[in-house]
Amino acid sequence: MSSPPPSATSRLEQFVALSSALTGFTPDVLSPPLDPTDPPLKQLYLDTADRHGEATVDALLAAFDTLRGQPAQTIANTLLEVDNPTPSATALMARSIIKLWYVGSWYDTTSTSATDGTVVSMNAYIGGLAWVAMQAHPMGYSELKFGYWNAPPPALSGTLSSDEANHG
Amino acid sequence: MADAKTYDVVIVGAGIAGGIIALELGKQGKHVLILEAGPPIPDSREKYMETFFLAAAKTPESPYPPTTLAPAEEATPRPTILGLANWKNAQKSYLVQPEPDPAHGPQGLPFASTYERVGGGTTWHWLGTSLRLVPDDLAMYSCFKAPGFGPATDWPVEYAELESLYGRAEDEIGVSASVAEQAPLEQAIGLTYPPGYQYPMQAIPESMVDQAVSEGVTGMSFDGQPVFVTPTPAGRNSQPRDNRPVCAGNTNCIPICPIQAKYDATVTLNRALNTGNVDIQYRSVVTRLVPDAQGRISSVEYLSYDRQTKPTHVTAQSVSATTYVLAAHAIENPKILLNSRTPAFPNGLANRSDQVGRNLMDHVIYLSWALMPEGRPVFPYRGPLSTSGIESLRNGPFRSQRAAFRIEIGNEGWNFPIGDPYVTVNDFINGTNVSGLNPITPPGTQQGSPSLKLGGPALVQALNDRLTRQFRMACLIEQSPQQENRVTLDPVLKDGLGIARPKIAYGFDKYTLDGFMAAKQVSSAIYQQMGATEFTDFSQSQDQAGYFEYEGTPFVFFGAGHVMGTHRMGTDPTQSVVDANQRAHDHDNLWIAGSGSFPTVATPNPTLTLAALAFKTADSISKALSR
Repeated sequence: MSSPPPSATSRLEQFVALSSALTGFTPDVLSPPLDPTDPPLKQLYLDTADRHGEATVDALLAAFDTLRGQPAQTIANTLLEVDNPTPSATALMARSIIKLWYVGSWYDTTSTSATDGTVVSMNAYIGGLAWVAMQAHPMGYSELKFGYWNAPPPALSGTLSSDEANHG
Repeated sequence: MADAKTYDVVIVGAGIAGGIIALELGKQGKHVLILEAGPPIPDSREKYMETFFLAAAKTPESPYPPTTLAPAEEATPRPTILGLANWKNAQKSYLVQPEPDPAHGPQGLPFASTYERVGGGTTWHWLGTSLRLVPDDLAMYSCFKAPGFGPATDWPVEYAELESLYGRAEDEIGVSASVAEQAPLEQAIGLTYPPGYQYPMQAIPESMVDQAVSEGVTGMSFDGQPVFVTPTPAGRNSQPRDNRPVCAGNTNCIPICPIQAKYDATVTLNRALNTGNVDIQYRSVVTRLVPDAQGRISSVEYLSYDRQTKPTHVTAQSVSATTYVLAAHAIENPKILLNSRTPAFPNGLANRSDQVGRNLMDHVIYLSWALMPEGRPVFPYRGPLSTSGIESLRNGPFRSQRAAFRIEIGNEGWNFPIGDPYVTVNDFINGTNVSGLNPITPPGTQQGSPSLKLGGPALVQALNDRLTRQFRMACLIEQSPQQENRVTLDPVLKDGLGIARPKIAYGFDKYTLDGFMAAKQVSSAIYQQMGATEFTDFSQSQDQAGYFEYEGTPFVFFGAGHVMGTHRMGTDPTQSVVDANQRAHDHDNLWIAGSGSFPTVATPNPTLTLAALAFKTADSISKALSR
């Protein structure tokens, strides 16, 4: 087994850090130490985004690099250009990356419709963060026990804000 | 090969009705052949699951054989949700549904329900709801004499007999429920059980949505009926049974239960095959039954094909038996009967009454949705798709005036109403407001601030707040039988095997529409009493299939997948197609099974009742064969 070239690894790590700020979930959720999926979702999503505009992804990563150390919300708001009525190509790519992580589907950067997505893979659907954000499970994929639905779910965890709340 | 062996019975269709009849007769040593139009039951459901996971639109049909939207190219095309969106275009929609013609009165709406043509039938994506009819449901004519009810007829079956058949069906399906929890329905709607009866398995626990609605409707009444919530008897395991696991709450009963905790007819089919007396042939599409000079059925003609889309190798075959059962579905059964016409039977078989294909009915769905107040999440998208309902509105004196309904409480948030979580997720990322939740803008109100474009922790928080407060209800409305709501054969359009496709005329009468209005009223009243904010809105849905206006109010109706009425049972051979045993009045050795036999449809999901009737049919065939 040969390890990938260092530059590729660091680009992937950078992508995870960027994705964490954009999605609001901790890097551990996006890139678990024992990742059960093959390829890992981070790799799948970086490859998917690259296929639709590698130069734009590079520009987004470069912009992210200049914001290191800022609070995640500030980074997300800046990269998404939330106050700009006509966001740049990098901001639109950031949107598509969030959608990849949330529902496992690729939406073209110009998409504004929920029905435009293409499911990237089975694992991508199952790994969608939207299900975590609503304290549920992917429809069609429950690892929970009979009757769990009769009581409230465990508190939301694995998000940047719940992490801060737990440690701060 | 089929012809090499002598069969007592040929059954057309490997769904729950055909499966039960095959099992019962196979157990008694009768030789049975099942002809199934669709592909074999897969060895494992993983392939169906993979197709489901990868489908962009997770419609009920999405896990199953491909829908090409080209019915003329498919061996076994079927109605689908994607086809329904193209219902006016017969090149894309299997059901030929002509443009509205005002001369035909209420007709001109799309028939909105779908079904599958695979081994196991549509139980692959049934919800599992296993409610019994109540005695008054069998006597719509003598109890209510509802105006506008077509040629209303009572069921020719006694409730006491149906009750014992229900016990057999609930055992075969494996129903989880508690008689004690259903007890309040005795006074409210007349539901009773034989003394000492217990369901096969303990009840399925209520969801948090159920609990909120149950608490919210305390003390309510509507049209003289109390409004209260009861857990729904369900064909899903609450304990391990039949080598199938307990329900893990995958929230995916429709389109597919990933672990088969929910019963489907493949369970019964496997049992039937294991008797050693039942054979099954897949990819065998019956085209017609052939009558002899005495009017008895002498053989079945069918086409075998090699592949679903653009079949290249199609073989015409035929097989004979002592008796025949059509159990192909309430649209496919009349299709076969009508296609079997001969000079002696110019209107098709079993059709002296001219009732074959008529009285097409569904449980028309009025769908509504709402958001719980801030800080009061109900945690939807968890548990089976539905665990409770309001059954107390299913019967009452009001049935002389308007259609009754039951209310199904949904555990899947706004998935059915708007396609969530996808819509709300996209809204908060794109800065749009299709859901009405970004910002919260109930229908008819002005949006107070610009829609947010979120990412990072704020996105998690917004989605958590909105999605955990969603819930919906669906009223399943009793449609009345109408002669002009019917299935005929299109004279021109064919499927990929050259078989004429079903042509549909469909619409609602005043009795049904007034039930729709009542459903809207009570749904809104429930949301109001709960303090929930209602978001039901069809004012912009003019282009959606199922849009209509009634008394100035815009509506969209949905199909329940409960296709019924097209070979109605009765005692009078001039008014009905089959008798109480589902035996054709006109052909001594032909039985026609399924919800097509229901003369009136009441409000419960039909699978349990059609399963109960299948036991009665098996008994009747067994008796006839031993003569």
